Amino acid sequence: MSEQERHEEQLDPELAAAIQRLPRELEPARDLWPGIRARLHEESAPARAGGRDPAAGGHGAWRWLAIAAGIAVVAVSLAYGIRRGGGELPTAELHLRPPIATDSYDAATASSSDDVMQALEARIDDLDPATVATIKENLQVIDQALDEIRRAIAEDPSNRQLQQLQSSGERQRGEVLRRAATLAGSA
Amino acid sequence: MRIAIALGTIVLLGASVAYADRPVDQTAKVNKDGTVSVSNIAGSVTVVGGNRSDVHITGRLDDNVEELRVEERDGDLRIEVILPRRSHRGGDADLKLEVPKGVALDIETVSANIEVEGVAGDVDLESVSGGVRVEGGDGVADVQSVSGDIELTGAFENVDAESVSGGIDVKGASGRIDASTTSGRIEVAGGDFDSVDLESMSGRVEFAGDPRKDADISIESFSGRVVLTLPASLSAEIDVETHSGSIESDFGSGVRKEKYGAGAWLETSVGGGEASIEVSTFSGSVSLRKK
Repeated sequence: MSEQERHEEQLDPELAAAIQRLPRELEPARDLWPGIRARLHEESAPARAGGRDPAAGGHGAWRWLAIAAGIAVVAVSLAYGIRRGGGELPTAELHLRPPIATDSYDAATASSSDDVMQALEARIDDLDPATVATIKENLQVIDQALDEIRRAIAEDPSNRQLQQLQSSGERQRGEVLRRAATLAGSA
Repeated sequence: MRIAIALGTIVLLGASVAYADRPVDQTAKVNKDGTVSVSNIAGSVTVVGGNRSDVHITGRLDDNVEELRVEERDGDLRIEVILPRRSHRGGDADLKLEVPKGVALDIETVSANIEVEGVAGDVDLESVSGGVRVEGGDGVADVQSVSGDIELTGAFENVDAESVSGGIDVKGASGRIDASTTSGRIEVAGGDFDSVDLESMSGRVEFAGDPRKDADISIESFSGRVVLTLPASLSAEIDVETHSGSIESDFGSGVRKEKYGAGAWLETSVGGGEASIEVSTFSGSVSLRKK
């Protein structure tokens, strides 16, 4: 069990479920590291069993060189594909997610905040209803402000002041949600 | 009739037994620069610093409180109001702590008010709906609430205050202050500052203080009005911008308005321009006043 799983197990089940549903936009669709780690472990285990440091030379060093060479070949192939116009780049095979559009980011954020609010409401018997109402009202205040800022940005997309206000508003929204999640977890 | 009176008497006696308060009166050890931590859901926590070497705890626990746990560890002290597991009745405790004035405080409550007086160590205070009031501190203050008001009075050198709907009122601080609220108001009246960062969505923001040389003063609000009261001898670069509010300034005469919109901005340098003052609002109006 990972540290994160252990931490989530200590939380209220509904909050843990809400956290599980939070968007993980930055995570690549295909996580290569577990495979690489498994291969490295698999290959270095016999070396260690034989009392040899895999990084100290012999076959271990060759394996590292082979991995490095493999990475170099992949990098050169990709660069060659890009130079040829990019159309032949094997994007489908890499399964990379497309960049997140603002709208889908908003939807993902709204979905995660709904989850946190649902977890908070589930604990309403344990919490002061006035506190829950305060958080909801203030999230509405922030959301209305953000809506107004976004409308203004739509009319003046290069306005740095508006962009800064939007960024601050989103940070404040995150802070209020963090407080809500803490409350839901500690009730 | 007699039966009714007898039954009523029994019910009243039962109620008085069920809700009887238990007094608290105990003493615990703490290092003079140790940390006193307190956790209490409801009621109140009052801490008074003084010339003493131990902690004297007095107050009362209501009948829904299981126990008051007091643990001394490595020169620190932890005081916890324990409620029965999965209790839905709540438990109310009023605690008063007399502590050595140099200790640091770490207090968490839900609806309990927190009051601190005469403690010189760092204070880390958090409440959900309870108010937080600190008088006489001079260290670092880190205070958070959801709906409770925050009031800090003292020569704090480093303040972090965060609230959702509660007001934040800081008097006498200097050095660095970082305060943020969504709908509460922020009022800072202090000495001289190196760094000021105040942020509000709809609450009013008022700052009165002296920027030190090379100070950074940053105030941001969505719809709340912003009022800065600054020394007449101010030396600063001033950059004020509002998307649809208005600007009034006693400094400089360069308030400019959008030709085809409601916005305004002011960019000016006064004195030697040593400090930096930036104010940004969406629709909140901005006033810069001379002391």
